[in-house]
Amino acid sequence: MSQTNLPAVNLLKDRKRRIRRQQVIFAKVQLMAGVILAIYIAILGILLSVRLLVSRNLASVEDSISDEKLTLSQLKPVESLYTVVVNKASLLADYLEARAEQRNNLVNLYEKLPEEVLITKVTYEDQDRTYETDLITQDMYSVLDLLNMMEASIEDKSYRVIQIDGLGRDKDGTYIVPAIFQLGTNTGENGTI
Amino acid sequence: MALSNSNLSAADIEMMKVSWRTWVFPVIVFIFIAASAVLVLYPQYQEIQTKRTELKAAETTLAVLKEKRQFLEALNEDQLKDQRARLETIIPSSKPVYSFVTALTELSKQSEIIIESYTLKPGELATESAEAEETAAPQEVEGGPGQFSTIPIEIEVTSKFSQLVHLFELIEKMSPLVEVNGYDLTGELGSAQKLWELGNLTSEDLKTALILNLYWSLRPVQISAIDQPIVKISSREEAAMAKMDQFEEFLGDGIAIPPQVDYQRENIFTLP
Repeated sequence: MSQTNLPAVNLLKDRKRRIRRQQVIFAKVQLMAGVILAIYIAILGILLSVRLLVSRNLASVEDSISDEKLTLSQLKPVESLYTVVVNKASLLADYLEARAEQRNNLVNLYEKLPEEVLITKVTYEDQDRTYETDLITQDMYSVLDLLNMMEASIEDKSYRVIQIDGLGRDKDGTYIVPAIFQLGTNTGENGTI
Repeated sequence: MALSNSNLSAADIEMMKVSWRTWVFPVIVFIFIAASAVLVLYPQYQEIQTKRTELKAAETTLAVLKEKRQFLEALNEDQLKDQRARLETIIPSSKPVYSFVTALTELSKQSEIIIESYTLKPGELATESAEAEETAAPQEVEGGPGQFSTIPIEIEVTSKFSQLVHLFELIEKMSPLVEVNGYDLTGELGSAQKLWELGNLTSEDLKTALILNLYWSLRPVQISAIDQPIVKISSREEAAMAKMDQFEEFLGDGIAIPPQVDYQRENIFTLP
């Protein structure tokens, strides 16, 4: 049997194909790794650039802050002046809001009393805004007028509380009514007798 | 079945080499990225976050400072000085004993009342100036710097009712600030004709013991921190300043203070 008549068998063909496939995979893997590395380096570069940018901005803002602080330190006398004015104005506002108008309050108390009723003693306490009074009158009708006046004063909220501490009559026929008148707050409150 | 090298052809060995080499670079890349991410990337990211936070805070501070500077630059210094001077007469920074006593003398003249007696306890007086006192011992005063302090005053007066009412009216607009804290009034107040309206209220004079509070306030020692926003004047405070004109200094002729005597030597206990 002659060898030349046998069909040719190329045993290297399959192996070459495998090698070629492996080379393709090799190239792809290298490429992918390269691309991933490039992307990572790009990200790192961007990150470093951002950091640089932020650092520069921060330094620039800090410089501006230093400049502003320098200018403000030169304006300190004006600020000090302004602070004193605001503080004193605030105190004045507190005072104006809290002060009781003594003149008007005393005149109002007097004007509200019936004509026949006299005040012999007034003690005013600003802390609880009360007038402790000794009222006298010569007749019982004036006492009734006084009680009516007290009711009316509570209704029109002139006083928060009106308290009668007693009703007496002297030997000479003088009626004595010790009474306390408490002013309401500026916000207004319901009164009681 | 184990294969010995002798059984592998050169092509097989070449294939194995190719297969091994395929993963060398990716593995190096992976290790590099992993190490770099931990050692470089993440710290850089954190640094950026920190810097961004700092930047935001700095920008806020800058905005506050800019606003504060613009506000202060817009203020009229001369006008502020006038306002402060006016407020200083109403709410002095040192105990206003002299101005009060002067004003009291003038008040008694204007309201035609007789001041029987008065007592005031001012405590320690400023010997140098208000500024020196405010920094020296701010704790000694009840209110502290920037707050109200009071000097209690007791006055006994004899007057007609109309005069007393006038006195109250004058006290309400007195500069330095004085407030009636209480009073004790005795006498026959009132008549069938309400004669006080005619200026002659009672048959007898009223005796009134007044308790007054004389107000003063040390200047605020410190201004706000430089990076803190400035406290702007409120409408309430502006309204109070608009009412400054209703307060009046009752200067009158003042108190005659004898001129200083020159003793020719510093220590009078030392012989010349």
